[in-house]
Amino acid sequence: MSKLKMWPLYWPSQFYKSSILLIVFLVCLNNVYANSSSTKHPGIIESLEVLLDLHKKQFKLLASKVRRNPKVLSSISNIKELGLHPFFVRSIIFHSDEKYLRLAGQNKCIFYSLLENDLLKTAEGRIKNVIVNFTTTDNKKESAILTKNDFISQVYKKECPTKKETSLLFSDENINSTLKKIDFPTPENKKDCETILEDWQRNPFTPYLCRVPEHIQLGNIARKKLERTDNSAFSKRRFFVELIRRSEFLKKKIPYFERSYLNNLCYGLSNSEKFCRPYVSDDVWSKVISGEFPNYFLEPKCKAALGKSTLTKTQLKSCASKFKSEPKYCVSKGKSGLRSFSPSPNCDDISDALMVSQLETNYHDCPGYLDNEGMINIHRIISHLDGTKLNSSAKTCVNEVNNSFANLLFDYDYEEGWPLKLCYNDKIEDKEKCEPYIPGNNENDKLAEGSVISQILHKTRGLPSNLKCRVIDQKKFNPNFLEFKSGCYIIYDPNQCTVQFCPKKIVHNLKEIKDIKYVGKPEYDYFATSFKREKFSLSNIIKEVFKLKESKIRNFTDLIYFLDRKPSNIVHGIGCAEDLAPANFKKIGLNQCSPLPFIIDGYIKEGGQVRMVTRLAVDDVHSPKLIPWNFIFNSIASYKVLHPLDTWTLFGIQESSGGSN
Amino acid sequence: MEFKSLQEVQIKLVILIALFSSQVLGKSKLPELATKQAINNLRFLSSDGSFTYYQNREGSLLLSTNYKVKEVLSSSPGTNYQVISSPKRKKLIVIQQESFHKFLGIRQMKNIYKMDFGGQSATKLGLGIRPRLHSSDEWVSIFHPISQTINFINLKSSALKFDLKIRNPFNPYFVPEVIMPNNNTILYTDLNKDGLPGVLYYDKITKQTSVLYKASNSATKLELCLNKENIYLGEFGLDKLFSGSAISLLKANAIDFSKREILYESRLNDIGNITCSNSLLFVQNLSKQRNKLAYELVELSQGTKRIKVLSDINFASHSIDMDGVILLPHLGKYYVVKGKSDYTKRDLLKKSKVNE
Repeated sequence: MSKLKMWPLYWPSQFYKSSILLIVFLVCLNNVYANSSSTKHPGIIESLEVLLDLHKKQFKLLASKVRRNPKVLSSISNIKELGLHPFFVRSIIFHSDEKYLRLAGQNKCIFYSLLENDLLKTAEGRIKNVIVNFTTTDNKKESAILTKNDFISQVYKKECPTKKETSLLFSDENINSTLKKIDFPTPENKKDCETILEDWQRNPFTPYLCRVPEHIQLGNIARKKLERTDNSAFSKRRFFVELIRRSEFLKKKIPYFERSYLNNLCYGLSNSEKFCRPYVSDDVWSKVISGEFPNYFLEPKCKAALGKSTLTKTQLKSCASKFKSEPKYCVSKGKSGLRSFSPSPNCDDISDALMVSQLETNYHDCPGYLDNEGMINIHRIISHLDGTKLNSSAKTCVNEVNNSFANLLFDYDYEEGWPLKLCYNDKIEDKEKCEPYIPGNNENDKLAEGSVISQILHKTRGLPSNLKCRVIDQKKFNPNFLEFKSGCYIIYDPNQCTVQFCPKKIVHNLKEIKDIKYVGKPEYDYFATSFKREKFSLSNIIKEVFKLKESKIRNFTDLIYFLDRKPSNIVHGIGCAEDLAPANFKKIGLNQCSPLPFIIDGYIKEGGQVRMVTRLAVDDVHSPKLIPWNFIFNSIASYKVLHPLDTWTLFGIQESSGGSN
Repeated sequence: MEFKSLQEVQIKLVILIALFSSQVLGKSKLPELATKQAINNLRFLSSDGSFTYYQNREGSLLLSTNYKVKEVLSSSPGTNYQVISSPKRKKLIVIQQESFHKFLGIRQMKNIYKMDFGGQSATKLGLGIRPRLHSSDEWVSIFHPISQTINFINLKSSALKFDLKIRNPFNPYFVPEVIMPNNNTILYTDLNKDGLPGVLYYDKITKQTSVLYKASNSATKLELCLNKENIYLGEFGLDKLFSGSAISLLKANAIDFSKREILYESRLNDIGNITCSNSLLFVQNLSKQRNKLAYELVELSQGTKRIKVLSDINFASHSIDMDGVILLPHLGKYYVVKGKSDYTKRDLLKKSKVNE
């Protein structure tokens, strides 16, 4: 039916012209091979349904007739001419998929390779046997039935010698290594895509490649049919089991990306729109693959999903395909090892948000490991402003945040503003001295906790200056093990440890060192809470250090216009968590509020409703949420009434170069 | 050119509509909570107006009753307090958070105190978050987010205490719901290794825990609310791909999940935030009825299973039960949904006896 509807569209095409001519010819010839005197001969004007129905009957008759004459080629001597029975060919044209018929029209060898790879069908479905006409050297003409394989090996020998080698390349033993040598190009744009598709249409390997998704699909169908087949139908069950086995074999042999690519290629083989859809679509995952969007929109999520620290291009494409086809995946996966709020939004929502996002996020922080949302938010803002690129991991993420925060204060010459210090008694100067430190391990950083302690031990006890002190969980520290009997360790109990209070024990060669004190809590104003210390608030320090223009965002109009003014503009604020995300944080008391910093860096309009692209400081930085403006407004209003200066805590940040308030 | 202008007009129209809907429609017809002093300082008002707890900038929590003011707790400037009660009106829990504006951490441990209802002397219980009163105000539960432990402390004898450890390897910001239908039974929520939320049943006598119910996906929130003989279990989707909400009823004296009665179901994701001390209230998603995103506080009648919309602000998020008065917080104000709203004219000179 669909073929009849489509033919007029493709009328200009040479292939279809010749197909129609062929059919007309075959219809005329039908009298020669059909043996029923009572056979109806409909004209071309008859409906296709009638034609098909009649054809099926005629095919059945022909097939049953020639089955009385099964042949094995080796038993036929002196074959002069061998070809497929025209009626058989007509059946193939009627019953095969149009996309493969288009390929078949190129040349007969392609036709034969499509036949070889189960991509053509007759009235009886999958082709196992073929009906042939042959002429012997003594001009004897006969019709017979041969196995498909027998026929194929004969015609390949005589007419398509290279095909035999191709068949071998795609045999079960060799298919894996053959596929590794084939290039599966991913188009960058629509024009590129159409060119690639045309190349595949001309590629002699295509019939062999399309066999893969075809056999996998047959296996999937067989699995469902097997469930419904009676146990006593042995041969049927055996048939289905074989199809399933074949499908499983291919799934094991052929990697996910190649299977996915071939599925898309063979599905859209004659239709460039279908083939190109994944590559010219409007989701962020495809656009990262095509290079339109930066890698960091996809890479960190992909690394977390696959559990890898580095990725190949193929793996990245595989992730893009997965996020696009399984949007539920992102809700619970894609950020393991870097603890943050769960569940995350689904992949479609994340994609929509990232498509309009203006925040640079070439790193991957870990709010759940740090427990200081103010520092997390500041780190994100700094990383956006100076284009930070970090190859973050679970081991380094805490230190990265502490580092950028500490460096901000040092750049502002506000070292006393860094609250965390290690204090000791300097015997030479006979007074207490304190050194700032950044919590966590980072051997390359002089301000890292371990480095500062080692410097102090060198000064006070003459220990080697290259001594490395390591922060370690007390569960991992076992003094009975040889590795811990010497060296310097800073031991803490995670069950007793919060960011504000984390008692630690310093041990060198198993002896506790008690004369170094930890001093200070990481407390500071995010936005000023007093006029006296306004210049030491973090929002002010960032403004000064990065020479920013700060705009108060009073309402929705201000927000939209600010974000639209410049692509790098972002907005940061503090609101009550219970109002920002009421489904996730519950309020039960009067004036209850958990102040939570956030960043807004885009917006989406959907059917009259506007939602803001928002990253709460507890969220995974690569999983922005789409929060209605009303919730954000409500949260800031709730926090404002509790703020000592009654401040409306929502500000836009713009770099000074270009643009104005 | 024409197309570009049309596009600009469309954008500005959407902005105007959003602006209009977000700001002009923010007001409610419900009465606003009226008090003698600034609401932002208040932390608890008794329903009869006989006493008030409020805080000041110097970091103190104060009790005002009979025109007298007494200091309950003191700390450094910038300290924030929260006062929590229960329908039993015997005890109050006070949460004290130092450096409220200077240290921004959701999981920050706070000082937890207990005191008598209307009392002025507070006793420290320990550190933690999300304290709740249980079992006729005889027990309090406090959650430790770092050790993932729920501490239970008896308020009559603080030596009586025990812990329950939750599993949750999935969400560092997860805080379990906890209820105690009786002194020996605890129901609480937890997340398994795949992030699936569940309701667990702990028997204090046998010290055995069993899974009462497990949700089918990780984008679901489970809520528990206890009112005398009734336990309400709320299940609310958190993502549009895992849509759906339901509220079920179980009997507290015979907890059998297979015999639960489903009171309410919806295909949309409600916000939830169930309160159930007098009537069953929650925040419902009314997007379908209003053809735009909308959430309102509603009351679910247990008998008729009918829903009555109580609020009119389009973006309701919570209801607060403050000593029986139901408050609707919105844009820094409080609207009174049930109970008296005017606390300015209460006669505070009358001596009122409060439970001691």
